[in-house]
Amino acid sequence: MKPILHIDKVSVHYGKLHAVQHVSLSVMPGERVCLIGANGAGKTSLLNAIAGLLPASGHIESNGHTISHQPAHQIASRGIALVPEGRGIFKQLSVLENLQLGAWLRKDVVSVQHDINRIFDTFPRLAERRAQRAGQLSGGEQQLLAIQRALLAQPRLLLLDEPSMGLAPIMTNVIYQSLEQQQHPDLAILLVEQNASLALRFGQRGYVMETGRITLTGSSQNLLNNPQVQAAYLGHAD
Amino acid sequence: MDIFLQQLINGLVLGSVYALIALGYTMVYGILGLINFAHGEITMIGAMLALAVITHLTGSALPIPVILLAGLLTAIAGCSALGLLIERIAYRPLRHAPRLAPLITAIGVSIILQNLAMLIWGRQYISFPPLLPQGWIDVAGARLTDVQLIILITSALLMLILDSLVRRTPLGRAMRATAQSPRLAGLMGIDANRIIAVTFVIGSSLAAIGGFLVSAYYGLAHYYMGFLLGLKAFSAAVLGGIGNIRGAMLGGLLLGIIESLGAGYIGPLTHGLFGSNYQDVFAFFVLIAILIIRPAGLLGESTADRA
Repeated sequence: MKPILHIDKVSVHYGKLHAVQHVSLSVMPGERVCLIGANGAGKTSLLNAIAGLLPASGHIESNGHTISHQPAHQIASRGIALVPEGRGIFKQLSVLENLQLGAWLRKDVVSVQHDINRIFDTFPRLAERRAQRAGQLSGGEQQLLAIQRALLAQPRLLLLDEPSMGLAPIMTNVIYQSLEQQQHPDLAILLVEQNASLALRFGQRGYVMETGRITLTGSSQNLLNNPQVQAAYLGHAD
Repeated sequence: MDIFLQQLINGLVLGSVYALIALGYTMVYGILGLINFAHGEITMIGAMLALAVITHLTGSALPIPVILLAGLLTAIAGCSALGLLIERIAYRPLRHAPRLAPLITAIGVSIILQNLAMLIWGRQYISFPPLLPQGWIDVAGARLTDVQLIILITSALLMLILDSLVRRTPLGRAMRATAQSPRLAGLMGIDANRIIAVTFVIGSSLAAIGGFLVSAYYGLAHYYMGFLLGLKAFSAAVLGGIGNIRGAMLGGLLLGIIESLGAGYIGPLTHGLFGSNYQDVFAFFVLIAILIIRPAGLLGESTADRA
């Protein structure tokens, strides 16, 4: 089985700042992998580079196809969907239109409509506001919308950038529950989180990123038990 | 004859042509943040192409509507191709450049097109062959000519179609999404370059139709006509709120009406000091006034909301 994402020695520069340095990682189909690390460790830059929003050096491939140096829309058509940091909804467009845009690449109009109806059945809050501008939703609702919109593209890899950022714990639970309940068994997820315990409970494997480099990797269980991880990210040392 | 009603009709006709042209400015601005100053020249090229074909076919055995349609379709095809070409070679390479660079480029393109038209079609006025219906109908004492009626119906239809296209179709959704954020649109799998190209094709087609209608209305075309026409349509787009499609329609109609009423009444009001030859001044009074009083335009949102 070919990895749905394979990154080999990828680097991202902003001028002189070396945000991501020779990072290599891979994600298999259906796998949930998390990437944890402090603010500014380069996690967001890495996700944006994978999605084609940032130029990067090194090699990125998905399912055997090279996707490095391709524009974002072509990477999206390879079945890779990014829910960017700050949610990235179209604030001026309605909730329904946001969802419809998520399905832009799909040709099966009838089942798209069916999938959108199912989202509205599952999340009555979104259904009630379907005709409102998405910018009027609360932060949590926007995050929910952004994730459901990404899932509507029927991706094989979902890249999530800090889905819990700025949300109350109860809303974070709703978001993570919605991810647990998504019904695509083959969907792989690469999750970036500052909240390490949340991320490691969600993912099967994890990578730890520090100042642009991967410093540690292993199963979530191993990372949770690792004293270094506990001290730096889980707050167990004090 | 009722002067007010007559000037209102004239203004509506003129305004609907301004609106068609203003749509091109506003759509391109909405998506690229660029004032495409070459748009007026595209309108001129549309009029010139249409007239060239129509003049060439006049006297042939073809029925008159076919001749007119051939001219119109040539103008649409030619202007679409021109719009695409300009976007590709002049604007796309500058998409991430500071905003002043594409603006100056647009002015450069506009000068090139003007001079090109002068070299091809000469400096003289080109008259519209006498193929158009000459009838008119009486509207409560004012006169609505057949040509005016055709202009009103054509532009109303086009605006309705464009409005539904932008508001109700997947393409329109993608256009609005790209206007809001090309980066996010890319994440949805939308090819921003394709959407931008489509926008230029639609805007240039509307300009071609506007150019055709204006030359039919005044009975002539000229290589320099795009300058004033473009400036007025741009004023209309700003009046309505640049970037806002319904704003461009409203701004165009209003500007046409203001201009016509102004031209109709300025003589009597100033006891003959100023005449209707001051017609062109009103568009720029309106532009200056709106920039002072409400820079975002009538239907525009403040720029902070648009970000």
